[in-house]
Amino acid sequence: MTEVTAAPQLTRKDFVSDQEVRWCPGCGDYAILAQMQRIMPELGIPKEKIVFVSGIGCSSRFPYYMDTYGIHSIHGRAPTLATGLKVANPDLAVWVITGDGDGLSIGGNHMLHVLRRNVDLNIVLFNNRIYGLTKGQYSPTSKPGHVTKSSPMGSVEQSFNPISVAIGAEATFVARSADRNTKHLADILTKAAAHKGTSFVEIYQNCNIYNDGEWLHVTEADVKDDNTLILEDGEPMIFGKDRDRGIRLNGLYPEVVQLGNGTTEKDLLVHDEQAEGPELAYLLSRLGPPEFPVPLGVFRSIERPTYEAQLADQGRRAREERGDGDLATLFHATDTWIVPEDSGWIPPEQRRDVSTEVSPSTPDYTPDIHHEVEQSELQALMEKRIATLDLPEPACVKAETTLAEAIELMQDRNLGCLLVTDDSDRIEGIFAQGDIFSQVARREMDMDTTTVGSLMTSDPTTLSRSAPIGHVLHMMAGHGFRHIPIVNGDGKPVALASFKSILGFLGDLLK
Amino acid sequence: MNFKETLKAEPVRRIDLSFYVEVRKGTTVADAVEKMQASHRKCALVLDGDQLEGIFTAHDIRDLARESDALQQSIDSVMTRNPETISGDASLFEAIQVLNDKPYRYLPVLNKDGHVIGTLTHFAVLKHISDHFPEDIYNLPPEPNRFAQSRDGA
Ligand code: SF4
Repeated sequence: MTEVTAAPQLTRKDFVSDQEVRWCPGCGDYAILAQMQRIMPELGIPKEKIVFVSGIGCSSRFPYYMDTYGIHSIHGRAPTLATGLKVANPDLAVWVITGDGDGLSIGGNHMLHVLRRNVDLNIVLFNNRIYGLTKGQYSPTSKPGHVTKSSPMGSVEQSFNPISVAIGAEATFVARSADRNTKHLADILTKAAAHKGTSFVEIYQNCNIYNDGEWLHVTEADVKDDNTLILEDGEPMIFGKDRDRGIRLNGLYPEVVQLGNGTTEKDLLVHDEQAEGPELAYLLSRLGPPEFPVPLGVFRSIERPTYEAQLADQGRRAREERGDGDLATLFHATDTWIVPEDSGWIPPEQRRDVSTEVSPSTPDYTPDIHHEVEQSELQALMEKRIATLDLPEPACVKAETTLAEAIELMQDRNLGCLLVTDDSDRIEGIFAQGDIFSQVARREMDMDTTTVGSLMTSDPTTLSRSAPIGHVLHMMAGHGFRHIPIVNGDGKPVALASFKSILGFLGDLLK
Repeated sequence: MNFKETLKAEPVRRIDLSFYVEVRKGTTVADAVEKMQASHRKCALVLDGDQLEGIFTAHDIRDLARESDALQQSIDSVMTRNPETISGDASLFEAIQVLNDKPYRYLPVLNKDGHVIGTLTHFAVLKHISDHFPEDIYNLPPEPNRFAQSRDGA
């Protein structure tokens, strides 16, 4: 009998690799990485069962930064490699990370076929509408007329709409999100992971070096609600900052209507992601500016048998009907022949040496980067060090502290959180009000025997005083951590950042 | 428009106010806690019909944790009555000042008719502010020092 041991509860940190991240500062890829690392523990899959496969491009550096298995493969061929991997190891969770260039031009063919085959993979396509790694040429999703290094007078090509392509290629799960819409993105990635069959997720990603601001209309806090339609299964399609506009069908064509004056939610198109046919999903994929909001969410999610399951089933049936095969017999079963000596093959020593041939030199050029950002006071602050914040000192206890003692301390000093330190005063855990809450809910009320050590979150995410303030907000707003211990070089806690202290600080600054 | 002006123009009702659950007056603490746990919320608003009666949060649980019969009581006896509220039309700028001046972690948000439309939290405000600075906040490497020192390839 095999012994069943509960898998250890993983945290975000378990998925952070030790590699230096090499994307340009400010690149949208970082935000996608953050959400992927955030959802991974929740999927409950052991790390050794997860593989990230990529092709070539900025997005394809992704596997290095995930502490899972990863393959940085050949340009455009990640779907192919991933297909083989999944068929041979159906118990793996396989993710394909690609971009608009890698996935839709160099690997366009592979993409179409993996989608129609419905291999159980999660394909995430970072769409920044430009070739980033090769320094700014137009891509298959660049808008017609886009002026780039390789289209100095504007691109003359009709661009691809990745969602339409995926639906046309018979994908069973098709969704879209944006790098900066962190919560939505985490939700869509989670749904993609849960889908059996190929999941295709397009993520609007900002390349702040070669195509900055491409998606501002759907990510900018002030305007995004007016410009996006959040798709929710079974719900009427309402959008707008004041949720006062909707999408209605007029014959075969959609139109935007104002709610009120006799027009109600009942008149609106209702989303149905499980519709068998692709018509509604395709219609939605065509919506966008200037006339329509951009739909974000799941366009289509239907069930269909997976490629690997059907293939395995055929193998099993063949074996049942014809018995085990034999490789040598198979090999000799068809024509084999000997290649004659005069077949035109040139021995290596007689080949022309190309390494010494002079190649025309390419002129050196530096990309001209126009990076206009509205510099506000607050923005400058994000780059300042945490050390400049006046944060409260944390209250520390040992792991052996009982629940009763901990609660008393928290009540006396009105604290929402205690840090747990080891014998050398280094941080080993964090114990928050929420941990008491779940304890009470489970009706385990033995306050004098339960220790803080058994309830705390071990090895919490910490920051050093030299980290930028933006990082505290990254952890809070991007990952939802309520408390971030600030530690010194020895791992000893010196301060505690909480939602309250950070908002307090921002509030003072804005006064 | 600078950022302060943006916050002054933006009403509270526009941000995510969904971090709470609603329970009826007379519910037991146990049922309320279960509902909160199920939806991962740490705040419950206690309603009588349409009317807000009180508020009950993880903070109260901490204070109750040592009482043995805490769970069987009616929520009415442990909730905070007539909690401070804020109007959905108040600006975010005002909201930040209120959150910072008062000790509360949760502020029920009411519409013009005095009905609850949500609960304001520090998290939602931080999230909203962060949404205005995505490049400096969301587009960051997993660890602050894991930055390339120079652009490479791209
Ligand atoms: S070139 Fe663009 S996509 Fe590539 S790392 Fe830099 S910002 Fe990101």
